[in-house]
This record gives sequence, C-alpha cells and structure tokens, in this order.
Amino acid sequence: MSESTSEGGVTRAKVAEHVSETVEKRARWACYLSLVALGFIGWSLISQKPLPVIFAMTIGQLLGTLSLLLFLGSIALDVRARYKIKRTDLMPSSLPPSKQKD
Amino acid sequence: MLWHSPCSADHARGEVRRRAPSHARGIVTFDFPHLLNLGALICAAASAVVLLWYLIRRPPLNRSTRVWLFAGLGPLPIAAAMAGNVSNLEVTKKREFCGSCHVMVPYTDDVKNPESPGLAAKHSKNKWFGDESCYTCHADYGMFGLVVTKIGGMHHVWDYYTDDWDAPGHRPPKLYKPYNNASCTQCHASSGPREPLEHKVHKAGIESGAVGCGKVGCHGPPHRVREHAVVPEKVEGAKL
Repeated sequence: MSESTSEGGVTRAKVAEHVSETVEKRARWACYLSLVALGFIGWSLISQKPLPVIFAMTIGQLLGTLSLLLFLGSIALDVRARYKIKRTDLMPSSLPPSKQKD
Repeated sequence: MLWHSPCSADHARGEVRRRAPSHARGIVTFDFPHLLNLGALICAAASAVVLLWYLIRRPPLNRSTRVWLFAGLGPLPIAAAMAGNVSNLEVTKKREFCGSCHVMVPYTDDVKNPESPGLAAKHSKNKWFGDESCYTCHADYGMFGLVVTKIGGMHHVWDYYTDDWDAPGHRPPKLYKPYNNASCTQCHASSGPREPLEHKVHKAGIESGAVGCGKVGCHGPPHRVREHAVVPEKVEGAKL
C-alpha cells in the first residue's frame, strides 16, 4: 500500500511539475506576444502614420488578444490540474479505480 | 511633453500662430487626442514594465505573480489598445493623414491651394471641418460609417502594396464604387423654396445616384489634379 501511495505520489508530482512547466512556458510566450503587440501600439501612438496605425490596429490587436487568451488558457489548465490532483487526494486510495480492483 | 506629429490638429490646419513658441515646447497639451495618446502610452509602458519584470526576474508563478501578470496582459494593454484606437481613429480623419500616402499628395495639395476652384478645395476652407475634409466627404454616412470607411481605406492600402503603383502611367487612386450623393445631401438640402431648376429636373437621378453631384457639368470635378491629364489608353489598361 505504501509503495502504491508512493507510486501515486510520484505520478502526481510529475504531473504537477509538467503542468507547472507548461503554464510557465505559456505565460512567457504570452508575455513575448504582448510585448510585440505593445510595441506596435506604442509605435502607432508615437508615429501616427498609415502603416504604424494599420499594424497596431490589426496585428497589434491580434497578438494582444492571443497573448491574453494564451495566459487565461494556461491559468485554466493549471486550475484544472490542481483540481484533479486535489480530487485524487480526497479519494480513499490514491490509485486509479482500475488498479484498486486488482 | 508634446508630440508634434505630422497629423496633429494644428499641423493639419496649417496654423502657425497656434503653435507653441520654441521656448515653450515640452509642455503638456490637454487636447483630447494628445491626452488619449498620453494615457495609452502610460498604460502600454506600465504593462511592458510588468511583463519585462516577469521575463527577467522569473518569479514563481504564485497567486500575486498571476495577478500582476493578468494586469500586464489584460486590463493595461486593453486600456492602451482602446485609448490608442480612439486616438488613432481621430488622427485618421485628418487631412494630413490622408496626404501622408504619396499617391494622395496631389489631392491634398489641391485642397490646400487657396486658388483652386475645385469642390474639395472649397470645402477644405470650411472652418468647421476643413482639416477633416477628406473624411467628411468620403465617409460612408451611417451608423458604422467610420469603420466601413476605414475598411475601404485598408482596401486602398492593400491595393497600393500589392499593385505596381510606381510603374509609369499607372492609374491614379480611384473610388471602388460611385460617389454617394448622400454624402453631399447630409449637409446640403436638395429641396427647398430656392431649389435650382436643375435639381428639380434631375431630382430622381440625384436620389437614385444616376446623376452625381460632383460630376463635371454639375458641381465637379471635385479635385483639380493631374489625373484628368492621364492618357485614357493607359488608364483603361490598368487593373481596377
């Protein structure tokens, strides 16, 4: 039993680590995208000429929206993973039901 | 802090007397577009600081970091984008903005010319909307007129970059659809006790668009530019 708990614990730790890495990676990408979008917006505000304005209002908006969605998606992924791990912890055994039957 | 962008209101009006003297440059102006610009830039800068802090310091992604990141990726850039959009849309109405594309320079030169007898030049002398005369006369008259007009402008820009506009004999810029008389009649009433006989005669044509207010023979041509001197064969051969 102690072995299986340990096995489940290791699995959960790995899952948590993987999710954490993914979330951080996505958050970093969201930051990069948002910085590019902010660059376009800033450029259009300083030099209010056709090309900067067009870039800001098309690519800038698109990248900004994508970055926010990416960040919110990564947070949702993290919350979901945490919820799953918490729910597994609340079960009588940390093993999945298929292994419990064995 | 003051930006003298080429599209600022003073520049567009060509009013040298309203400009701040050289020793007074650097003060904040409180006109609407500049305030929006300033607000948008402050939001963008604050957002960039938060994002760069996260990327450089790499703090653990705990609750407070997430809240900061959310501020840097959500409300602050959205505020910057919204204020920037409004400011940019205001600027795109200015005549100087239209003239910043070199294919439009003959048109903006014509409207700036006080001697020009063209319809556009006459309208550009109007003190209420003269500095936005391109937009005022070419905007679609409707609820989404601004957006529709700007999408049309994007179409022109796309055509400009995908077509060989620098080729000799290339056609001048043209409207994609016939000029809508409603743009004239939104200000000029076409009926009344002093209505000219020509208007009464062509009333149906004016309303249906078959007779254009700005056509030669009526009140046009609207622009006195070199396009009228372009050899017709070359115009016909060009892609529309």
